[in-house]
Amino acid sequence: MIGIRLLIDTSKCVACRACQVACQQWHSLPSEDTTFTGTYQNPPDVSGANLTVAKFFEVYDTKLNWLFFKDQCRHCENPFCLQRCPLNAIIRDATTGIVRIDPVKCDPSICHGAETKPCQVQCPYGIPEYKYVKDGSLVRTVMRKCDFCYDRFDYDFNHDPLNNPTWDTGSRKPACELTCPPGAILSGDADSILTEANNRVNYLKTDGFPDASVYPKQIDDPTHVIWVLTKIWSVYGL
Amino acid sequence: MTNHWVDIKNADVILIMGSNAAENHPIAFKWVMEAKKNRNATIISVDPRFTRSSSKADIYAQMRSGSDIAFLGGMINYAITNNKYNVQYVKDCTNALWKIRTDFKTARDSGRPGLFSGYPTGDIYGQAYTTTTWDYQYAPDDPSYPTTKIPLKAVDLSDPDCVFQKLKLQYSIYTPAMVENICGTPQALFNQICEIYCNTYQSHLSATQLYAMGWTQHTNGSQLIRTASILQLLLGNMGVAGGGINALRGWQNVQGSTDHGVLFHLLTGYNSCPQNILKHAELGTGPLDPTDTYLKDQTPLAMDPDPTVPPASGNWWANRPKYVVSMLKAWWPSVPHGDSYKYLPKRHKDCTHISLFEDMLNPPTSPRTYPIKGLFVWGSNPMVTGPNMERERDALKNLDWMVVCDMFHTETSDFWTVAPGNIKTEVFLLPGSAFFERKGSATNSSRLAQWKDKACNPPGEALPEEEILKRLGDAIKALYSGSGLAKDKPITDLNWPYDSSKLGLDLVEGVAKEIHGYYLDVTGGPVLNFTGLLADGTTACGNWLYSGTYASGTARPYTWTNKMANRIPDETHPANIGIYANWGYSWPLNRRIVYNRASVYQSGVNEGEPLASDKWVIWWDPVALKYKDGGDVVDGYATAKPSAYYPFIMRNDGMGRLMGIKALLDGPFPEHYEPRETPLTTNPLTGATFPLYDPCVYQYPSTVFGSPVDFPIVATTYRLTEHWHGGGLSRNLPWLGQLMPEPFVEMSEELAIAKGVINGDNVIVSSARGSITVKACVTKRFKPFTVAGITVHQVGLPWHWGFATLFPGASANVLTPHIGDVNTRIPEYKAFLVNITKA
Repeated sequence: MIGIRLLIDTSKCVACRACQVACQQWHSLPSEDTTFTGTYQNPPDVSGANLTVAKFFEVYDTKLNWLFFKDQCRHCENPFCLQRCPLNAIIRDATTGIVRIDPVKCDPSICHGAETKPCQVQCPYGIPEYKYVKDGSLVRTVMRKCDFCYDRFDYDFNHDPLNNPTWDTGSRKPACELTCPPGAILSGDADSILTEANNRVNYLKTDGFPDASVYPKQIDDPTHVIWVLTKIWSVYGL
Repeated sequence: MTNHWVDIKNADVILIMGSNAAENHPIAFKWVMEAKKNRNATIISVDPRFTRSSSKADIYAQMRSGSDIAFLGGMINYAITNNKYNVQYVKDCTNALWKIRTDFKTARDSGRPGLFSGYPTGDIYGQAYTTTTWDYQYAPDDPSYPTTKIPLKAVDLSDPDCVFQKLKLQYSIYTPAMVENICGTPQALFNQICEIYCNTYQSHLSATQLYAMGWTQHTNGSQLIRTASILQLLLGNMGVAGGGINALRGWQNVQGSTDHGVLFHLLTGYNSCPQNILKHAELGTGPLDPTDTYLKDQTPLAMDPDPTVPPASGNWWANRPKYVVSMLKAWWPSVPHGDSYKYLPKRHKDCTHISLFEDMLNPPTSPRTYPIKGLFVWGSNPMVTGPNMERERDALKNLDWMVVCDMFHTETSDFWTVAPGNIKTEVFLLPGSAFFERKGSATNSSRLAQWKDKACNPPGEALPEEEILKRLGDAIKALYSGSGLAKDKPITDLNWPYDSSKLGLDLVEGVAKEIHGYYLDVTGGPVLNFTGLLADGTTACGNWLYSGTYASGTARPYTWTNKMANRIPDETHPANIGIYANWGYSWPLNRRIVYNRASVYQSGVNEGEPLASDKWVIWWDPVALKYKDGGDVVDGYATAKPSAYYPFIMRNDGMGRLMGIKALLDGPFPEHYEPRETPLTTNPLTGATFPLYDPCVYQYPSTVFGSPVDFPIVATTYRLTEHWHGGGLSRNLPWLGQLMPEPFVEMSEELAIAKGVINGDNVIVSSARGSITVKACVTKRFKPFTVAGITVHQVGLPWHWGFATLFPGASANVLTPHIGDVNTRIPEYKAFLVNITKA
């Protein structure tokens, strides 16, 4: 695969949620109203104010497991959201593979009439969102999702891919990766990162996690964000 | 920490118990994951609740709050009965062979189950042991060695008088079945943990223990740490890479603050605060003073079974007079130290947290004590963090004034807005600064002092705390200037804030230099480190432990060099054990693993070789007659071969102590006692009703305790990743507040069904002290215990909340009792009784 890839290793994640805060900080997003609903997971899901959310699962198999899954945009190689955007507001950078929403072009108020917009309908993972609740009021903003922190990189996203076929993130990394205390997040060249993910899965299979796997399965749905899961994918609500 | 954060990567087994490292130390937790990845280390999590740390552990065991000593005592018994202890290490590095007085009795053979010899007759709590019998047998003193006592040493570990046999007897009833009965941990699981953990008795393996407030915040917290230390000594895990006993500190600079003597009973560098007793009236010179003096009392005599031949007792605290005198000369350089000693306040009572608040609430009436009129609160929010919080709030009403220095309004600064009644306390809120708004050193758990620069100025009228303190001191000095009264001399003679003519004009750097130490003669300049300090009044040093942080050179005059600012991120150790000697500076003398003399064979053909050669710490080269280059800084006497000194130089007997010699108040060995509030009515270890809980615990006269009839559920408290301690900072940050917006109580699905509670419901949690309403978090991560034949439920509450800030909520510390550890009085936050009803 051409471009960049992000690996989220759930075997290392302790769900401290520093990634959530770092993401909001870099994107200058506000906090949203929350209450304690009986789980550590908060806000309950991605929203117009939170582009990534750690999800918590208490699962019994041979013993109790507390599983964590940092949910966010997968940056599909073939993004359905982009194909169905009536405003052509979703951009895919051919060199890096980063899929992002142009906040100038996107305007949910003039988009397809329903509350649920075409990109949301098309996304198999339920990621894009343009609403959140703040100080008791529903706020409608532009559609938002993970943009791979593309604006942190020393890379010209207005480049001509034919004349400038290489990408370089310089010393910078996505905000979540930079802040992740246990080092569960890793970005880099797409193929190298997939190799690393497969290596980690192979190690985990010998270390008490026979069901370890790479998610999403890259054969069917190549993506620029992948996870190493320690358990079968279905227990993460995927 | 005896070791340090990076060193966790060298462990083969990691026991996380009394700590939730992934939650509270997530950044450091990466070294745990590193050990798992690089050494295939086994991570064991023992906790009443399945935590974020448990989620990353290979083995998780559930254990009832307050039963830790039974668990660890069971591991000691397992190691001894299964011959899984490091015999050579135990003989060479611990006091296992040293003979104990024949009239000493353990809690097994004293005739009073649960009590050691020396407890007064009559089954009454709160009495003091007569500790005469808790001692070695001694040979007559040898006049040729006036500073040495000569204990008797057994020939082998089977001698019935030796410490090892006493230890074996003491823990003989801590069987797996007993552990299950007390802790509620299944025997098979307990045995599996023992097997894996105790397997590190082999010299080439090591296990580390990560603990925090889950071990300390109990009425027997000090003894709990002792139990863990004994286990580590038995297995030969002390002083080695990937071993040790490691207290994970919960604040950025809490290690630094205790090092610098902020606690009421300590001067700087862990020298004791003098007491208001006759034998502390004079400073004196040391142990050979003809009359009783402070330094005679505080400077230990060496203990050495044979002072005529090596190894000798290193007895490093024999240097104490140098450190105390140099500290006095730093504070009052123009005054002879024998006189300035008398300027020091003499401690006359307990001034720990609970005691201070009890004194505010019930002002003492005796003629020699005075009521507390004012209170300074710095970097602290006791109206969230203090136990029995509503009682402590009442205490603040009795003050004339209170000054709070903080970045935000806190529950403490605003206590008068919610406390009922007519409050006369005048409250001042001084705007303080955030850590990035001031420069200076901060010392982390690794004893590593790291210098940081200021990133920006504090906003508005806010000031760095040191500047506020300086102005306060300046004002006090001005008030007393011109006073010729003798009683004012401690202030008028005070070197405040430091000698800028010798140490420069920068406040923070000047104080750091004073802490490091300097010569008072005309040549002046810094000492090299604490080995240059003298007891004759010619050197000044604010804190001997930090002497070495601010100088370099090979001969006088040394140059001022801030080694805490060292920032070379390269590994310096040939075995890649993570020493990074040129990053920051750790006390003492930049030693990263203390007690590292115990990491090598002490004598014989392999003397000086490391126990584990692939992760050696120091290595004596018998040909070159020196320690190998690149190793850690040797623990004292760096040019002396291992067999020249006993390995533990900070002990006057030079040995790791399997048995404490008159150290702790409630026994020379740890013994399981129930928490002060327990669901049980007899001690499950002994079957006796006395002592049910620690017999020596001090009970404040007016504190109320609940019975298991009214409050049948065990509760514990803890912190969350998302919030910071008293919450004054994090509950004012919307990004953090939205993650954990309000307080909750975690409970098992079984308890929720019994109480008719659904996840997310409001529930009332009540104790004998008060009650709060919080949300229910019903989880698989708590399970009921079967303890002593009955079902015991446990719940847990995070305690970050209070009525102030952007994210207010009920304070869990409304529920916690005013009772503290026997030896330190740290509050028993971790085990108490509550009841739960649906709101």
